[in-house]
Amino acid sequence: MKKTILLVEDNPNDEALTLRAFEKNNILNEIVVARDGQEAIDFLFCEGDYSTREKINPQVILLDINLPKLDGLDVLRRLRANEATSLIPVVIMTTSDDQNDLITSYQLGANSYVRKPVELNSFMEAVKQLGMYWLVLNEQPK
Amino acid sequence: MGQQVKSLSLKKEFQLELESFNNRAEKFKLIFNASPDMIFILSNSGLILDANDAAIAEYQYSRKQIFGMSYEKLLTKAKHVKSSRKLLHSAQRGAEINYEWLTQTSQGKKIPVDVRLRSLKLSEDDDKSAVVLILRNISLKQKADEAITSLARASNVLEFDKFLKESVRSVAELYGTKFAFIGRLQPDKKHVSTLVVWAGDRFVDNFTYSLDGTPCKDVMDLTLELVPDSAAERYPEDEMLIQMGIESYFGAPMISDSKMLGLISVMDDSPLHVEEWTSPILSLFSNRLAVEIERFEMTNELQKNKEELEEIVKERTAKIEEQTRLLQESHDALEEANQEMQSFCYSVSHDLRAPLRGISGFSDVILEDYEDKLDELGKEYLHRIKDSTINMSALIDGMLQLSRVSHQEAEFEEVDLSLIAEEIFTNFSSLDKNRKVNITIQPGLICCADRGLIIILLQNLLGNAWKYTNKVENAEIEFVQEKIEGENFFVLKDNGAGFDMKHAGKLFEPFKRLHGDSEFPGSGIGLATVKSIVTTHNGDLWAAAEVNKGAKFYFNLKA
Repeated sequence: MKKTILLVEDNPNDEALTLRAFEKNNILNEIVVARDGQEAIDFLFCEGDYSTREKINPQVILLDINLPKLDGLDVLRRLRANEATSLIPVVIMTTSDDQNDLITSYQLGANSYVRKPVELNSFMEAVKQLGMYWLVLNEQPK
Repeated sequence: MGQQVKSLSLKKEFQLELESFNNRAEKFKLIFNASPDMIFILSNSGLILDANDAAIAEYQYSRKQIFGMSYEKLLTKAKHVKSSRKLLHSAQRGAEINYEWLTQTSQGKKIPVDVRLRSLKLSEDDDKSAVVLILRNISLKQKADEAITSLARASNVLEFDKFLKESVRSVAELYGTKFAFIGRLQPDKKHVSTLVVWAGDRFVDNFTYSLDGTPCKDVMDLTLELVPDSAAERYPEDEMLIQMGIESYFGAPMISDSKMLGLISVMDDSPLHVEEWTSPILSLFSNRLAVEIERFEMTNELQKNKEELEEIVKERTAKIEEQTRLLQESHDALEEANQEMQSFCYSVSHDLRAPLRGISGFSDVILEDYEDKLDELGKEYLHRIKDSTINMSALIDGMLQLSRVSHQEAEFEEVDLSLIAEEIFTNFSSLDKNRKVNITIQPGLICCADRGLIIILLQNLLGNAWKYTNKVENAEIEFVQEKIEGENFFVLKDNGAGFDMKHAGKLFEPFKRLHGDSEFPGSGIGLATVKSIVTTHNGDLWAAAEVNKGAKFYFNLKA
């Protein structure tokens, strides 16, 4: 049973720091990184470069909002609209603290909303919490 | 008895007087000739036996001519002659005849007259009786009637122009003249402009002329001017009179409330007679015209003022509409700018924070993963980098908050400031467990305000108090309400670092700080945010402080 994490992140720094945070917190799941919204969609629906992928949903999606091509909210909207992907836990991880983004995210069915902290320790803590909750504690409906 | 005697003697005296009076035919002659009415004594066959002075003068016959002449010569038309004979017969038989005739003088001038015919026995025993014919000139009455009728007719005309035309034509008709005009005196008092000119069979164009040397000038000097003949010769400087060959000129001034308005004149190229009615009728017209002209001009003036006023109102309205439009445009532009500002802030938040996270994050990574390879100085520098990113992060947050607070639409509700303050202090204490601060909050400080904005306001103000008291022992912070000059103010007092009132003016400006970062770190945006929130609530905000003795911030919210 592979518990894949899909990290949708276009900023290489944030990607590196996030991957490091998982590593430091001993979260050793497979992490797939999609660097824009379209790539995330391709991965989730096994299209484009991912057309040959085995069709298994990730355990959790960490989704940035500001993304090239399709933004995070569009990605969320698309996967919630599709029966196959509608129940995947989605954690919005973003720099933005815009109230509208927060509200829209929850309206579209985000499971959690985390503002990326500037300070690394807080960031580590946030990632750790996410990993614990979504990978260990949370039981997905079968 | 005595009275009877007296009465008898009076009677006798009267009888005597009467006899002597009767005897003196000269007395009758005197009365006969002194009468203003024209009296003729006619024989049975209608020949004139006698005529009084007035009759001779009016009909312009000599005594010699008139005696023995038939009265019928005084009449103008054959049918009048015929009817007059019947009247004469009736009078001879004792009837009292009152009638009106149109008579004429030896010169052919027409005189309308009131006629009375009475029989007169010449002697007691004589069967034959003479007839007394008494005529009274009624031309004035007739002309006045005609004039009033024409004026009444003219007055029925609602249009001023037509009224003037009707009047001037009537006056020419009444006077039997070829020309008649109405002139308006010009403001220079030296020229007259005609309002309407009648030239015998038509109206002609108006013109303006100089008063110098004209009969009109005399009219303007408030006199009625009657020149029955040789007018052109009498006024040799008046070229117009000469050109037109004017013989006779009658003019009357038009005066209203002792203001000279102009004149009405009639002119003809043949001589005219000055009759009894000549001047009163002309005055009648001139007075009536003066009133009408004045009224017309005042109405015009009023109308002009009204139109000017309407024009002004129209212009103002257009201006206001234009300003409203400009205002709307500015408003729209502002709205757009606000939108842009919001999205700019969104970008700033995201785009500035991401690299900051990189700097801070990798500094931490170095500190953690390469600790053994760094000396103390190297580690300190990395800490400084980290601290700077934290400061910058706070700065970005402050800017965003200020921008949001400035553009946010407030929603007002009842807010308990005491409760919010308590929560904020509880939070501060939990984050900074080493601090011991004596906090006093007056309970029940309630106000109508936007809850979200008030939280930000109190976070900033209380945060400052918390921050600036961290170097004093026995730190005290007090949040109460006080009445100042009849107005309620919320007051936040602390006994912290305070500041010099010299610099108080800069206090609420963004990025202006009264303390160095090494002393008290801060972004310089907090109080600007507070000011913006108080302004949104139409409130007042000011501070009082003394260096090292603490600060007091006063504010009220009047939303």
